This record gives sequence, structure tokens and C-alpha cells, in this order.
Amino acid sequence: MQPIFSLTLRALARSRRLLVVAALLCVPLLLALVFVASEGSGDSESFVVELFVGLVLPVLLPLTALIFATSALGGEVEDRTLLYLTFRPISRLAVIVAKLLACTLVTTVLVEISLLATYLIGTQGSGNTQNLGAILLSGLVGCLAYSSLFLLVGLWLPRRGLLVGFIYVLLWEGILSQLSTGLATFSVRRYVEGALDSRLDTHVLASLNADGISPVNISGTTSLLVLMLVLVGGMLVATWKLQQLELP
Amino acid sequence: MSSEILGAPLPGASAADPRADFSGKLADGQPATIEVANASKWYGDKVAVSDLSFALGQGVTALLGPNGAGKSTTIKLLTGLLRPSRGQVRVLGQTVVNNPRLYRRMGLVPEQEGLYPFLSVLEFVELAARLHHLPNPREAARAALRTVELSEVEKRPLGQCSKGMRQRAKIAQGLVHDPEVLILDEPLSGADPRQRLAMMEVFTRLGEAGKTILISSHILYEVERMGSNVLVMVNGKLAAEGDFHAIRALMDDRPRRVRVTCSDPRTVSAFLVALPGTRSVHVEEGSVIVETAAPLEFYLAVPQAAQSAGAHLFGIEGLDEDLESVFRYLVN
Repeated sequence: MQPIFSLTLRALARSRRLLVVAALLCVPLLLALVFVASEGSGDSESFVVELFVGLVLPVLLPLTALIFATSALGGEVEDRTLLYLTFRPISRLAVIVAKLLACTLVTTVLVEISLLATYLIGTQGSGNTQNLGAILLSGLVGCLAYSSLFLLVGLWLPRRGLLVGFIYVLLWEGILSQLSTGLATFSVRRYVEGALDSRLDTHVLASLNADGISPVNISGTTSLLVLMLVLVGGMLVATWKLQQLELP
Repeated sequence: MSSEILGAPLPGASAADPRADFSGKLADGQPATIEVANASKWYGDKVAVSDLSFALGQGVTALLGPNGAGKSTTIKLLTGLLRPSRGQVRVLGQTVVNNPRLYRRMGLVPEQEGLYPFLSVLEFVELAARLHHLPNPREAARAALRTVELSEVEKRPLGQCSKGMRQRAKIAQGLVHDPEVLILDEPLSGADPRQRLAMMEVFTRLGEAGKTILISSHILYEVERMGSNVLVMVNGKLAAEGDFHAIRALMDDRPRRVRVTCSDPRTVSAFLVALPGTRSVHVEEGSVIVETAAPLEFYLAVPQAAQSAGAHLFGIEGLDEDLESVFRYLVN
């Protein structure tokens, strides 16, 4: 498993995707800098949380996971190198776990660094550790769940995985799932928001409410359970798919 | 393996049972390492290979056929990369599909070019050694690179290697774990003549050491050098199987069409029709097309025929010497 993990890390680290994602994840940092420089009138803690809820969580986090996870396996199928990993005496589950660990690690490190830096800049180092913990934890579980989901999408649709993922993130999660709670049930974002809301302090939650951002009506435990289910389910379905995969 | 073309045994056949039904043995009692029973593969309406049945034992066997004959599909069926739409494939007595543990005993050198351009030659082969859980992967990788004469460029990234080097790196990763069965899809493409010879010697040596080596190729002389067993595929079907020399003799004896370009085709044709082996003569503008059953004698006799006719001879050209014609003849 370790050789596949290292190989995938190297492949992801040298791709141009890394630069694109790094540039994207600098956007919240820049906005936090602008907020601080303009001596924003609002509550800095709430500003940073709103930045997370309004930009990172719905757009940057899933897109980062999408970009890395679809290339981790889908890229190997497209480049026709996958057989150098699968024509070996190792289980398909081990291949999937190694790939998932590698793309999740890259995604998580980049997203969490961006979140931490944004929080520290936005609050100028005087933030509430409870809120920082809530942001980092929900960011982490979001990275895990989205990576697993998009790894599967990349394996299933190696050529169109990126497009399908974009449509899911921007159309389904961004627009359709906002229209009704029923549709939102099938959205990873809802549960990441649930994990966040359950850990934010009441002051920030009230501030978000005042700005028209209602807390998600789902418990933190349920949110974490569903996200873990997405993680494990995606991994198992990807393993099954890899077992069925033909390499013409 | 017996020599057979469309079911008719050839003279000079070696002992084997081409329709071994998973008995685990060839007809001569030797163990069958690769067994295929009525295997077909199709995609929608397109049939890639149809009703393949054969059994192979130790030694080198060549899978021969023109491009598009189904060689690569057959290799992918044998290695479990594709599932047969019908029929069965067994290697070393086991089903190959979804059986990763069997890959410890099998090696594959695929045809496709895709490699990891950022890995060095050594890293690429060492990756294979690590995934095979070899105790000393780096040393095993270096030994494999020595075998394919690639040690000098072990640190070069694959993205900066020539096609021949990449091809040899692929061979090295296929044999790094000393597999009992090694399957190679067009392994010599891109290699220069000296490297081809060296690689052919490696494959022959492995075959003599008791390994089962199956090599696909569309180049007859490569096959001739490496071993006497061949499987010939045409249009997705097994057209011939068995001893190379018996099949080669049949190929050489087939009738040929020859174009003789000369100054007076009509007069020359009267002399050509009288030559032994001539089956038909067709006069065209400036040339004569002759079908002959004795091509060698015909080529030698043409200058004399032209001289006897008082004509100038401008050229003699075989019209069906290409491989496609040879293989198609085996089917027809």
C-alpha cells in the first residue's frame, strides 16, 4: 500500500492542478487581509466563519477534493498506467485505500492550511479556539467525505469525472439542494454544515442567523455519522468497481 | 502443442493437445500452464476474439498475427485485464480474473506506452518489486535492469528515455519477481536490432529455464528466432497453432502473384505460361501478372523467359508478400 501512496503523492504534487488549487485557496486569505486592512466594522470571528460557510465549504473545499481525487485513479485509467498497480498480488481495497489516503492528505493539508491562515489573519490571532476547532474539524471531515466520493466518480467516469463533479458541486449542492431540505438530504455539504454548526459557539451562531444564514437542522453526531458513511461507502463501492474494471 | 491450421494437423507437429479442456496437462503429459477453452470477447456487436481454445506449456510460444488480429485482446484475457464474454481462461491451474494472488507468479509487459514520466527507470522497476513484496526490492530491480541492459540509465526519468529504453524498462518490471509465466505484448517494438537480439536471447533463456513465455508479435523473423511454438491469429480467430517450422513451410509453399514489367508483355507471357508451377497469366498494360506455385523457381526463370521473348525486363515484383497476405492465406 505504501508504494502506491507515495507514488500518488508524487503524481499529485507535481501536477499543475496543485498550483491551480493553491491559487484558489489563497482567495479566502486575500479576503481576510482585505477585511483586516479595511478595518471592517463587523465581528471578525463571524466574518471568518461566514467566509468558511459562504465560500470555502460550498465551493473551494469540494473543488479541491474533486480536482485531486478524480485524478488519483481516473488519471491512471486515462494514462493507461493503472495495470502497473493492479497487476500485482495486492488487494483492490489496498489500492483504493492508498489512493484515497494520498488524495485526502493533499486536499486536507491545503484546505486546512488555508482555513487556519484565514482564521488567524481574519481574527488577527485573537479568535475563539472553539470556533477554530469547529472550522478545522468540519473541514477535515468534509475533505474525507468529498475525496471518497470523487475518487469513486473519477474511477467510474475517468474522462468525465471532473465535469460530473463540477455539476454536482455547483448545480446540485450549490442550487438545487438549497431549494428544499429533501434534496439537501443527498448533499454532502449539508452534513459538513451540520458538523460545523454543532460546534460553533452560540455568539457566532446568532450572528450568522442575524445575517440570514440559518443553522442546519441536523445534529452534529448524525452529520459525522453520515459523512463517515460517505467515506466508507465510497471506498467500498470504488473497491468493487475496481474489481469489475476491465482495462481494454 | 500440435501444429494445426483450421483443424487439420500439420506434419512435423510436436506433441500437445490444442483443445485441452482444463486437464492441466498437454497431450505429451507436460503440465499446461495456460489453458483457454472456447473463449470469446465481444463489445456490443463487435467481436474482438472468437472461440479461442488452446493450451500452452513451458517454453517460448509466439502469438503471431497482423495488427488488429486480436493478439492484444487475447493477452488481456490471459492476464485477467479483460473478462471473457464467453468461455474460460486458466493460468497455472487457477482462474485469472479477480485473483490478484496469482499475479505473484505472473508477469506482464503491456503494449501500451503509458508510464510514469516522473519516475526514474530504477524507481519504476523498484515499484513493481515492492508491490510484489520482494525482500530486497532495490537489488531485485537492479538485477532486472542488468538483464535488459538498462543499468547505465537507471536514474534517468522515464519521461526522458527513448522508446527502446522505456520498452526495456517495461520488460524489467515484468520479470523483476521471476514469474513462472511471462506474457509480453509486442515487447520489441521500438528496440534497435542489437537490443532486439539481446531481448530475444533473454526470452529464449527464460523459456529454456522452464518458464512459460508468451510473446505477441507481428514480425515473423522475431518469432522464428525465439521458439518453435506459435499461435497465429487472424480476424480474432486462431488460424494456426503448433510448430513454427511446419507453419512456415506452408507459408513458403503458398502460391504467389508476381508482376513482371517488361517491354513486350504479350510475347513474354507465352514463355511464362510454360514455366513449371505457373497457374495463371494475365497481361496488362506494360506488365504480366502471373500466379505461380513455385515462386523461387519462377523468379530465377523470368530473365531467361524475357530474353527468349526478345523483350527488355524492367522489374519483378511480388504482389502478396506482406504479412497480411501471409496470414490471410493461412485462413483461406
